[in-house]
Amino acid sequence: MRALSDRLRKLAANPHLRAALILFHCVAIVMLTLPGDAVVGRARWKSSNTQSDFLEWSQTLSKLGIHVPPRELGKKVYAVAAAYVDVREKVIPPFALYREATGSRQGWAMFSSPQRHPVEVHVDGFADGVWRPLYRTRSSEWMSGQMDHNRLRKLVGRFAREYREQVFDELARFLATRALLDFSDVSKVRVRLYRWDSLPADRVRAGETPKGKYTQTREWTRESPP
Amino acid sequence: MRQLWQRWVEFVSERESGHVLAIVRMAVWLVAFGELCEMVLYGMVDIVWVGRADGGVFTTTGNWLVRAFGGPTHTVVWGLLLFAMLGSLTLFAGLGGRLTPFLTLHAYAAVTSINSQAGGGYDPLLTNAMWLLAIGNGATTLSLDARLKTGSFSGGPEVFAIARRLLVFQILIVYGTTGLQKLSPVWTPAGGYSALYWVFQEPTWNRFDMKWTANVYPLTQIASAVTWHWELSAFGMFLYLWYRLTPERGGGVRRLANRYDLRLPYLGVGVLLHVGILLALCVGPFSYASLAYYPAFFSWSELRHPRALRFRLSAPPKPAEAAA
Repeated sequence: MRALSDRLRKLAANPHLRAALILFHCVAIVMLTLPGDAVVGRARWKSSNTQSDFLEWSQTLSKLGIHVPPRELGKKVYAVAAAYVDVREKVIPPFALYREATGSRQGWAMFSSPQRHPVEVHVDGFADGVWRPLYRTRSSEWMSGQMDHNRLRKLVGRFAREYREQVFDELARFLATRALLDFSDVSKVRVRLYRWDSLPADRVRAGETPKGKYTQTREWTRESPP
Repeated sequence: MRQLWQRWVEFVSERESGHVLAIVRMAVWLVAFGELCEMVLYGMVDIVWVGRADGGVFTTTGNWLVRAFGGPTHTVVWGLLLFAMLGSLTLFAGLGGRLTPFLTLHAYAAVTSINSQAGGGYDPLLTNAMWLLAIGNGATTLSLDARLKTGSFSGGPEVFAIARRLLVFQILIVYGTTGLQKLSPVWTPAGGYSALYWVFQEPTWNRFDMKWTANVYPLTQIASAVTWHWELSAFGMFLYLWYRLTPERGGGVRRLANRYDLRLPYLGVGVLLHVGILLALCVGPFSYASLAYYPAFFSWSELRHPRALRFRLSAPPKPAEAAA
């Protein structure tokens, strides 16, 4: 055991080995920053936000005399992205192993395309013949401690970018269960996903407020809870 | 080629006082401990991380370590969490050499990997620093390890300077690549630098209602432009740091760059941006985790005498300072 320990110590003290490992680390970090297959994710690609980006880029190119309709631009960029992902998948595996062994995850697409078609989760309770709001984003006390926490903010925010049915179902079930427990006068609970288009600054200044629509609804009664 | 390799070997073999690494160590593990504490105090652990099959809310999986323990059950999640919390505190105090940070980083990485829908860039930002602190041994000084080995908290042997430099490399990579990935026109002149205005209009991240920013729209444009260009300028910082390391190589641009300490404006803007993020947005401990890397830009002598730092330098940095 002692001999093995001494051998490892000697190996670790080898400056060439150290230099090689550090070089590998640097290369791995750079390689792992390359965005993964999420860049060709269908849901994200089809999202309103990505479509808005292509529309704006198409308009910008038009001003420069290059006329490419947004749809065609999207197709061309998608083809490039798909080719890039193919190459990436071939070169990443050895570095992915390093990432798992050392916790060196890299993925720094932060606010890369700010959401202009956001969503909110709304919870309503049915009592005395009417629906009343139980939870509204950033303006309700009930569940605010949890729903305002950054990890659930992230989870809800992702519904706008790439909606995942199962995740929404599970969140809705959780909120409905809690609502039926916390509000004894409520006979029914509904959890909905509200979506709207953010307004440009001039329209907000003119006093306009965004109007959205409910895109998902889940409903449960006290008799048949989630 | 052989000469180049020899220079690289010499570069990664340079040693320095371990104080800066120790400061980063304390900051990183404190942020990690704070994040885990917050999860416990807000009752988020069972909601976000414990799997649905075990009484949690979401169907979750986790990384190889979580799977090896049998999945995100109540016992596994709380076991990893408590291990990571205890490890973070121990490492803040600087006890345990290299093995403790390695194990603790894996516990932290495992528990934060469980729900891929509910995590942010701060998790890998922290685990990246933890890994570098593990291999660089951030506990040689300002630590209980130092007290036990030398009788003094601030004693202890020198460490490889490359660990601190890799921290700088990592944070510049974060800033630079996040700038490169901002491909939406709204971050660019094509979209009128409207990005931050749109961020402030959606409720996901806002700490409070930010619709009033429509009245100061030009300011949000300036802030967007500064943010994006500053992030991209991280690649310029790499070049600048290279110039600082090699003043003897000459060249007009190098000489001009070395007349100034460009780290100061670069990090100054970084601090302002992170304070802005902390005030306006709720993005978890991202800003704290980023700022924890900042001391790594300086040598211990510079950190001890911050008043001596000057933007305009009277002479090119000496090798020891340049290495910072």
